[in-house]
Amino acid sequence: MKPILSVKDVKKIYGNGTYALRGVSFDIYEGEFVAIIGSSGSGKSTLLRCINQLIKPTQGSIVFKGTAVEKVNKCELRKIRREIGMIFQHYNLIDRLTVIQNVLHGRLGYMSDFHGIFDLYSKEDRWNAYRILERVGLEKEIHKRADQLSGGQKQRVGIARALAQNPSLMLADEPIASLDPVTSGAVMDYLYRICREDKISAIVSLHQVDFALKYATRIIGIKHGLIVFDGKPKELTDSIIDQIYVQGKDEFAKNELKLQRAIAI
Amino acid sequence: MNTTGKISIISEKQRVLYTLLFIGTLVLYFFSLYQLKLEFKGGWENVLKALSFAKRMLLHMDLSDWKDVLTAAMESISIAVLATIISATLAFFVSFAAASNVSLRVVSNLCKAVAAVVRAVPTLIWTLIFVAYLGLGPFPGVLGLFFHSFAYLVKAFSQSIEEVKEGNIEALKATGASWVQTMAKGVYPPITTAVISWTALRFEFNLGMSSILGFVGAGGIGMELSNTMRIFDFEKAGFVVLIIFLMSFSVEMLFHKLKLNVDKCIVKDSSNS
Repeated sequence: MKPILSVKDVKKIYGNGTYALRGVSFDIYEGEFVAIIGSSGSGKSTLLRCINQLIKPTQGSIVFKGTAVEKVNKCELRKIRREIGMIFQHYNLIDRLTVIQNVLHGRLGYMSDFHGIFDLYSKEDRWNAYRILERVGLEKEIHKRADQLSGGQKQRVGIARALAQNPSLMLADEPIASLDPVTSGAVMDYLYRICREDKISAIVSLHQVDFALKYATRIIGIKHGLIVFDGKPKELTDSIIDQIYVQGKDEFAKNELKLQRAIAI
Repeated sequence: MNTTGKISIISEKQRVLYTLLFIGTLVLYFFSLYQLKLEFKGGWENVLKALSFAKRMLLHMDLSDWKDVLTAAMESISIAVLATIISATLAFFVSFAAASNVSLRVVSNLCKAVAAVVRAVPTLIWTLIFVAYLGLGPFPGVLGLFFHSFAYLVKAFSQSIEEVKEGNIEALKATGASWVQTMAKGVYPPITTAVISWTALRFEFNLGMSSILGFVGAGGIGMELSNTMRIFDFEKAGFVVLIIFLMSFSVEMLFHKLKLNVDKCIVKDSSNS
């Protein structure tokens, strides 16, 4: 089986000399639901943003469905991006616009500049957006302004916007890091179910090991810009969690993570 | 720890800074006073004289030229309206090129530098230049107002654009939206109220400006004022001043009612993010 996404030896050095990624390689296959775990500053966000070129990697190759994304021109990049949905920690909705307007932004990649600017979404796109909102349980809120929603609702709109793109790959950058535990569970349920139903591969960066263990079909652990673990959830042992997260100082955090794991398994 | 004695609530550095600032202001004040050699010449006689002018302007107002004055007032308003609409429209588009977060650095710096240079020349000077080139009349007035207000609005609008959350731009880009679409859907919505408020503020300023542009020969109600003052016809000048006051005041009241207030929208924006 050919991978849908192939990341090879990707490095990213920021202008200030920070090494965010020091050579990361992995393949993603269709239907995988991959969780990327690692502490803050380990390079999770940079990695996800390199995949759809929101950040240009310094070195390495990223091949999405047979196309090298770092080599394409602007027009082709749009075509690649519209096939990769993205969900953000801070939702990144346009606050002053309505829910359905936000969802329809997912269609912009398929439209001309003129049609995009003047909101000339097709009837089909509009109905499609409505159906997607039904799937995330927000069909009653379509005309609410995005800034009037709760955090969990906002993230569901975020999922809906990504889904409107009709993506074959979903990138989620800490989708539940700003939510309370109960809402987090609900949002992860939506994300997981939708990716399963629509056969969308997903790469989700997570802070919480318990959520990674519950949903992921595969877990990648990152530390200091390097992959230190790549395998099935059940292969993730306590000592590996230690290695990914803590540098021997924070005993409390370490124990907390082990406890989470014990509860999850 | 020693619990007696006083605890200062500002640092030593701040205290020194404030003291220096205060002394500096005082020095500047007396220096300027000395430089201008201002003194209270003439005593009460001059005060009474000034009062008598005011009395002539306000109590013996001469309304006989009302048609000319009102026509000139309309001209002033039209100058301000034209200059504001043209400059705001152009500034809106240019501000996207001038905003550092959505434009190339070279382009952004260039736009900002040009705007800063244009802004450094006051409106009256711009108008004087155009009057010299194009002759008397409202057209150089429109041009003069346009230049300064364009440069001012480019700065104001591009600052609003720079305050837009990075996440908005990121999210739109990630959907495959083009640059223009990203601007229209991710950047324009959050800055709409700021753009309208800045334009309204600038219109108030342009209106005030357009009523004195006549002094340098650019038409409008300022011309009437300058003509009447020149021949010490304070009775007629009084009426012109009244009209100028009503013009500015009514616009300010109108915008206040419409809640077009720059301060308010800035506060609102920062609370959102």
